[in-house]
Amino acid sequence: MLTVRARRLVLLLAALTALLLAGCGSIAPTPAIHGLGAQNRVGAFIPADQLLAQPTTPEIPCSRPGSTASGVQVAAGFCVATEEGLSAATNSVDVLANPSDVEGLTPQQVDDLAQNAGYEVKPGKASAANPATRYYLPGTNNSEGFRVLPEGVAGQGGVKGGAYLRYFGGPNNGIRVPLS
Amino acid sequence: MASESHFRSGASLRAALLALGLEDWIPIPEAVGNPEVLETVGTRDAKDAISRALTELVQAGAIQIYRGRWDADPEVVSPHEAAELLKDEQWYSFRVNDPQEERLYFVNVENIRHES
Repeated sequence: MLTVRARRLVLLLAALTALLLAGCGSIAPTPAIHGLGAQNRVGAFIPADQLLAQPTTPEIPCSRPGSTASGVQVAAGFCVATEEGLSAATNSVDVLANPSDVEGLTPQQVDDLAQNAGYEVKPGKASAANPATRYYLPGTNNSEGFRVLPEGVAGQGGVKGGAYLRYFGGPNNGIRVPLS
Repeated sequence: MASESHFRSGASLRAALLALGLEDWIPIPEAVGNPEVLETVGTRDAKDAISRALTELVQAGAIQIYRGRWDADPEVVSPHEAAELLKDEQWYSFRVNDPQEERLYFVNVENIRHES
């Protein structure tokens, strides 16, 4: 009887150890602002202030069922995000930060990238003759991002004659990029 | 000669602001940092020059001024009130650390669709 119990205990311990080594223990999403920092998927430590400075708050699926982490809530636990989730968010951020990569995309493609990258989206005003969808970088209080004018500006030639994107604030401030 | 140059600069600045206001409701601090606006006025004394230009454009009925919290839809203000508000330097810089920050926006009246 004792042997059976001992075996069960060993099996249970082995299972728990395997789970921990697999890197996805129980996750209690706690905002990073209350913590000291977080571990990313390869185990590197990210200080809390860097986490807060990161612009994206994408939904990143974990490799274990039932676990998802959102933005700074990646902090606590050992959530292992899937390669696809993280790389999609990272790629979206990179693409949107580079005007030459954005050039020629459709407004819908830009919208998809921005949603992936965690931008705050504000639709164009109904009362605008030239409606512009705004995409705000999180944490900047709507002072940085870009706007997309899917129909351009009425009566204008050049880039403004068709769909285009215009950055405001940040390193690309003022740059216009033609879209298709 | 200097006044002629000043006049040309003022006209270019107003044109740059009007062009910007065709794209959207523009927060004034964004205009202060806009390269096309700064090209016409330079970075030195830009806020004063932009303040004067916006006031002239309001008085000419070429733009409308809106006011609101950074995360809310701004409301239009009267030209008289706009002219008074535009004198205050607080509207020309972002204060992103202030969660209650209010902003002034301007829009070219040609960018406002009038419902019939």
